[in-house]
Amino acid sequence: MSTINLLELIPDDRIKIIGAADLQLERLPALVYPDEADAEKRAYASGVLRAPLCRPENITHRRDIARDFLASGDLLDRLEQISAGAGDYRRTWQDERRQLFADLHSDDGAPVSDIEAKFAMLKLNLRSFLQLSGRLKELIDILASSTLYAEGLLEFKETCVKLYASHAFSDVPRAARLLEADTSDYTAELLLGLNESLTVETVNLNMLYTADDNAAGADEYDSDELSAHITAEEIEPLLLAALDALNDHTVESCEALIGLFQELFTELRFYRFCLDFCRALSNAGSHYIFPQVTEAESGVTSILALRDPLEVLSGEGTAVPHNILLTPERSGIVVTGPGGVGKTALLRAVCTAQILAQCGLPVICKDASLSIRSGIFVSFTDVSDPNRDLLRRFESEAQAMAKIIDSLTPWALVALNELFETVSFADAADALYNIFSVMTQHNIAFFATTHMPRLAERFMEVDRITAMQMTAEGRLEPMQ
Amino acid sequence: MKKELFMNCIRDTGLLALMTECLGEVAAGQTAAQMYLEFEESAAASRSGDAEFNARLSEARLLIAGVSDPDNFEYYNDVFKKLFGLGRTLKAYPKLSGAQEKTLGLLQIAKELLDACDTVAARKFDNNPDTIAAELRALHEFPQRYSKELAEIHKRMTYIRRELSSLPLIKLRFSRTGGRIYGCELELTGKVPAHKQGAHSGVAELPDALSDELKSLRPELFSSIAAFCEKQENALLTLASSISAFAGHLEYLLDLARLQNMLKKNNIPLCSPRPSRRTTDLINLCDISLLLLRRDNLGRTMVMNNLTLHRKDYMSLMAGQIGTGKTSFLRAIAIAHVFFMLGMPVPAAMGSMMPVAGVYLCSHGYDPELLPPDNELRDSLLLVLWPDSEQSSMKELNDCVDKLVEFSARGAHGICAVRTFSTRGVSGTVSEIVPENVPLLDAVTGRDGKRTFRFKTVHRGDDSRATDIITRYGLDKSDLLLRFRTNRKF
Repeated sequence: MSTINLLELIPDDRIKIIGAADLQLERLPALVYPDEADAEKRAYASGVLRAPLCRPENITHRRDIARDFLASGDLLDRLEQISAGAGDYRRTWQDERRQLFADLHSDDGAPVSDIEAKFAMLKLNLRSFLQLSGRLKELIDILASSTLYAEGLLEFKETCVKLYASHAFSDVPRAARLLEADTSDYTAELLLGLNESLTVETVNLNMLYTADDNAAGADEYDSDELSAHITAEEIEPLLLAALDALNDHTVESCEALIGLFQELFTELRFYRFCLDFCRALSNAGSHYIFPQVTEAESGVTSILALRDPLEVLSGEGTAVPHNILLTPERSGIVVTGPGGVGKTALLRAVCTAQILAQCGLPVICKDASLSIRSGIFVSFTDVSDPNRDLLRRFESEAQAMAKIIDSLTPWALVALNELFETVSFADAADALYNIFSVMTQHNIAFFATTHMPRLAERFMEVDRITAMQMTAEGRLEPMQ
Repeated sequence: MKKELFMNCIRDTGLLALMTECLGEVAAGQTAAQMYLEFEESAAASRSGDAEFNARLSEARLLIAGVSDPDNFEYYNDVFKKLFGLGRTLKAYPKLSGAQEKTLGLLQIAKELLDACDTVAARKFDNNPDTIAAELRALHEFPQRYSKELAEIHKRMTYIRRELSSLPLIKLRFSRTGGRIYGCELELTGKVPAHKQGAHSGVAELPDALSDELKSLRPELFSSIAAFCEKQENALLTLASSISAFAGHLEYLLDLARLQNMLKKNNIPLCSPRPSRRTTDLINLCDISLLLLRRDNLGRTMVMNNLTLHRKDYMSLMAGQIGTGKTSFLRAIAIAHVFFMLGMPVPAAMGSMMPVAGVYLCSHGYDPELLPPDNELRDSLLLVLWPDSEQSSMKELNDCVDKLVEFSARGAHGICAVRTFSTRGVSGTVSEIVPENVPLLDAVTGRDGKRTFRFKTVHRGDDSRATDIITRYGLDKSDLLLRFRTNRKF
């Protein structure tokens, strides 16, 4: 049976984020779900934010589906309702199977009657199959009653419809009759296929209850009759093999349906978070958009009036929106400015926007076009122990930087906050200059803040880097 | 090199354990045994001269690269499964007794042979000798080379299949009351309705009565099967054993590919070092046995070391305190040499390597039992971790240096590692007694006194402040450029 694919259109990888803790991303789910009872939702949302995607197609796919859910009122609620509890259903069903198995087998594990046991188990499995297929029909009705535009949802609907119409479900009416009938007396036919080694491969078991059935069944085949004397003892192993195959098939179909509902429920959790996040942003009076996301090779980060969702949702920080532009030709930004004006917050906002966009979530801005970043690498100055020897702090920063460089991939985004601020300008400048220059030569975009205006000045003349300063009012301006 | 010593080396490096984890115990044992044979052949080629060694190395690399190529792996794996299955049926065939069993056995061989050839021919290769190894070319060309014989078998088998498939659907109709089956009737019918095909499949023995009925229904078909088996037996057995002979080596190559994939998944850098007669020079060599620690993404965080060995130099002396990574480095060097000789990509970023006659790793201390006779040490790689003795470390050091000079005189190259107790490292203690022409490798200690698991060639009087830190972490411009150049992702 098909998988659902509401989260990914094509198989995708997850990008690597180093230094996520410095971005304080874990605060975002807590702001969307402040209620203590929502711990599970917070944990799920944190997981989403830790796993941004790599393929623009998948991000667009998520965005379109989210838009359908946003536009269609209670569709998400109804899908959640119908897909919930599949795991519990499986447990109950399996308990019933265990109980039945125990009832039909003696203490030493031998069945009371092989055929009886297998028929009873088949009935139990068929009952579950009927219930689950009824639920599938209901799911199709919900999707059919909604106006859908997203390819992902339309394909999902199509998958469900095809599944319901498939051969696996063509036996449903017959199964229903088997459940209704008293199966202590019946006529049945086994259709057996032979392989090249003249061994039987059981094809099918048809249950026939009436003379009409019998006649209808016979019409399906070209009869080329031959009589042979087959004893009941010879039939029994064939019948057992057929029952095993039919039982396996029914269990497989039930498992696939349960899996489908479970998978659906799991995938819908992403859209629940997305809708709750949108609602929280709306309640905070912010304008959000789903950014345009392009292939990594375009190397662009263009955001108009960016704001940090953490600041917006918590009501803290400055309200100054910023415009950010990184291109393959100018792939680095160095920002300097006095302490406390919002350099670090801006650095966090840029990285957070990139992560949200690559998760398929909205960003607070007026317009944005972002290319995929193959990894997000963040390094903040180690301020854990301000009394620590400066040279040792410098060494730990150098070590962290070396680790980042070893992990880099083309088209990654590196964010460096006050790197090497612990040593003198002379010691730090050359190293940073080399690091920034080499990164830009290798298609690595970076956003760096520094308290050293002389360092930013040094980049004013460098082709691929934009030197900017942040004013005391928190505005971002090119360095003059 | 004796097999026992080679196996010791494979085990002590942790490579056998790693292969066991990756391939399972049985396959790891088989692969290690095959590795020994391949190693010996490479060593023999090396003794014959550069041209022979280079030719063998190129062929081995082409073989391994061909099978490991992600585009080809599944193909060769499918081929191997078919060939392995065919080989197993062939092995069982002589044990069959009676005409009917033999007939069914031969039909099975014919089916599996055609199946295997179809699988081999399913992919088209250009068979360019520069890009595809001779052994793989022979395999690819097999169906074409024996196309006439295979076509005849195919023709007969198609007839038999078609005729058998006109029989197969058997409809048994029966009734059952109160747990008893009775009133059974049988029909042989036409084709299975399309929607029922393969709907539920199970396997059961065909009752004898049914089998006899089938034969009486179509006597000409069953006599035709018997005639086919009688006529084609020799051709079938010869062709089947020829093509299934590829299975053994293919299994070894697939196992190496799996090992290689595991290294790639763990982000271990892999390179194919240039063969050299004078120098082994490896950049960012990794100890892959550390993967047994099962830490996530270990390949990204693993400490890598550079290695330089010159044929004309004495063996190197490595010094470091306990737990500084001496054993790990020695293991890495041993594995790199074994892989190089086999044609496997070496777990390092780049470099060149000298072929070796043997790889001897004494990681539990110097033990003459673990070394070959004097005349076999020439051109071998010898890696010795000198035994510890806390009472007289200076005496141990002197003994180690004496032995190192002796080994070097016997033509070995490699490293003797010795444990030091002074935190002053080589420059403070060891270098004073070691002859100047013995290269020294010292364990690098961080500024905070912590271990770095790195080793460097000793340059006395190192000073370090900010610039030194930048250099130590490879952040100066030349190192940065080298890191990007050797990073396969760029």
